[in-house]
Amino acid sequence: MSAMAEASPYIPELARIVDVFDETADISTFRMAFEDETYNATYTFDSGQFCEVSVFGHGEATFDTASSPSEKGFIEFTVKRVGKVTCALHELGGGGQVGVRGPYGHGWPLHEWEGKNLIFIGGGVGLPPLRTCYNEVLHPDNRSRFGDVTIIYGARDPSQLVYTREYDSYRQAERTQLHLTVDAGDDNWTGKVGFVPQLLDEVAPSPENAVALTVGPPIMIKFVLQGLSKLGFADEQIFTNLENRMKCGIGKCGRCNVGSKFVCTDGPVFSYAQLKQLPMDY
Amino acid sequence: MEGRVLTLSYGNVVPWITALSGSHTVFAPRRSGGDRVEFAEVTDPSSADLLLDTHRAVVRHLWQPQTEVLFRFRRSSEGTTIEPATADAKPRVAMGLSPFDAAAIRRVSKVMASGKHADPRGVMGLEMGMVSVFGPEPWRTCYPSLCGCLKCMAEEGSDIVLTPIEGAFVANVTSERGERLVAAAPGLFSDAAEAEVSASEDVRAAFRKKLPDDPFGEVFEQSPNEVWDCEAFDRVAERCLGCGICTYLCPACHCFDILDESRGAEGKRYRCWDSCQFDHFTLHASRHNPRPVQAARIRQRVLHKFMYMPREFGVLGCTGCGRCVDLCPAGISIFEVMAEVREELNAAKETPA
Repeated sequence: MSAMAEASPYIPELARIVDVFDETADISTFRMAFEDETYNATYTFDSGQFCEVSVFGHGEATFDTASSPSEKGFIEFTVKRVGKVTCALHELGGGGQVGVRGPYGHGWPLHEWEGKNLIFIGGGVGLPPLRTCYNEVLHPDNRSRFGDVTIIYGARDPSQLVYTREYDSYRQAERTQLHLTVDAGDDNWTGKVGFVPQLLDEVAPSPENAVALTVGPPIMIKFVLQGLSKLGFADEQIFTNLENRMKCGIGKCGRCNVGSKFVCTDGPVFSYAQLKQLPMDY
Repeated sequence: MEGRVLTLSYGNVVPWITALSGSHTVFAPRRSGGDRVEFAEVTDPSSADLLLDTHRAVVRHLWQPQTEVLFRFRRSSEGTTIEPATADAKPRVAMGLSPFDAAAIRRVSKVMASGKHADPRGVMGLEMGMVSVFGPEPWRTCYPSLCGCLKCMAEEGSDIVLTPIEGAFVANVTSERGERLVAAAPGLFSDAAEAEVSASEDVRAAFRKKLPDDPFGEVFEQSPNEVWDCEAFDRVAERCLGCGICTYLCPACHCFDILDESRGAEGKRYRCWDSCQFDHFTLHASRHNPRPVQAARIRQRVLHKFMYMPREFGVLGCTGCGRCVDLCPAGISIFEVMAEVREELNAAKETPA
């Protein structure tokens, strides 16, 4: 951490956008490297943690880190053009300078999942916090510590699927399955058509020695949770990631309260068992 | 516990503030036009008046300014440079607060200074000297969450508690920091005579008697889900304007926003007070809002103070100063809301489902 950031937790580290991957018409993945080389080389995080990203003059916004902790020298955020800061980030593009604070919050408890089969269920632009995790699990250094990996992912239509360039590697990987669906196909789409919860029913992963992670729009989550319960997954085997609005990221600004918990410091990852204890304030 | 008891004649107050001003940044109440009273940094010690009624004066800025620059930035072809805001060099002393406010500031500072990332303003609030003034009259809408005894005052926040008697303050110095504030002005304080001590006790006892007797400070022991759908929140929401004044006046509120402002190549990042009573406070960029209605926002305010803070930090998020009750344009009382919620919960318990 730089001396400045030590003096105030609100001062970001300078970083540069070193690459931009256009995922859809309005979603891009921004690869960033910290300007301070030592900081960049030693930066570590857990998959599932988030950062506050600054576009100077426009403000800060909260993004889950989308790249895997096993990839060193850069971090990635997948951002949909939707508000002030996200639009500014898209305008800034490659080569632009940004600020990054973090990593914050608690990531996926991967150390508790060694030897288990992992099922990732994502929808739309909810995939980044899952991608960071399955890419970490699938990394050669880590792969042997985990069981089978199943990725179930869907989007509104084929043009809304993110990280399409990576799908082939999952299809070819051992003990790994990728299942895709879209709400509505187009002329070129030969895959499945239907909602993610339906695809989950079809794939019907076994709850035995398994953990399910799900991130996506609230309506998808609702039915995925029902589906997982029906398949026999206990609440303790299901994990999700809450997306409350945040500003400080460190439990001070007050806006991500869900009951007595702060999503920023107690989450953003919660088990379904934990979630059931919390009021519907998310 | 009640510390060393000294007296400070009213004539010695200004010399004391003057003596402290060299080594400290001093805040004290002063008149600011008409009958308005504000806490401001003392530039002219003779304008400070520790006996002013601070009921309508905001105190939150004593530890967290309404707007605070976090850093300035400048963009050039070589990149962005960040210049952090400079912190106060001198220790801060707040004088003339009510004991309720001193307690609230200490509580909220503890929350802000805790956890993995300490907020510098929270740390300052913990280290700040606080000289509170007891009475002479409690404010109309005060509630006795502080029992009124000196022990509570000292434990909660004040370094020195001043009690006004005939011709002088009786000063109970209750902390090391308080001792240092006294030592900064040699000769102005003298040991309190027995008659003065007993006169100050009478003033405090009279103050305590004027506080209402109904219980306050009771924590909600239920789970959030048990309280969640109480209709009391909906009823009060019908009257609430959503103006947020209750949170801006509250000495124990700490929520803020972080924003950028820039012109050309230069700009600043600042934070400013925000309020859980506004709909945009929790509004997502997707337009989803976890608290889409005022009832949900009122529930958040009540539960944050009387359920969440006690659970996470072991303190109430309210010291009963009563400002929010007295100054709400719609006449809403958080204490009445709580009473209604409890009534509803009790009724539900008695009626089998």
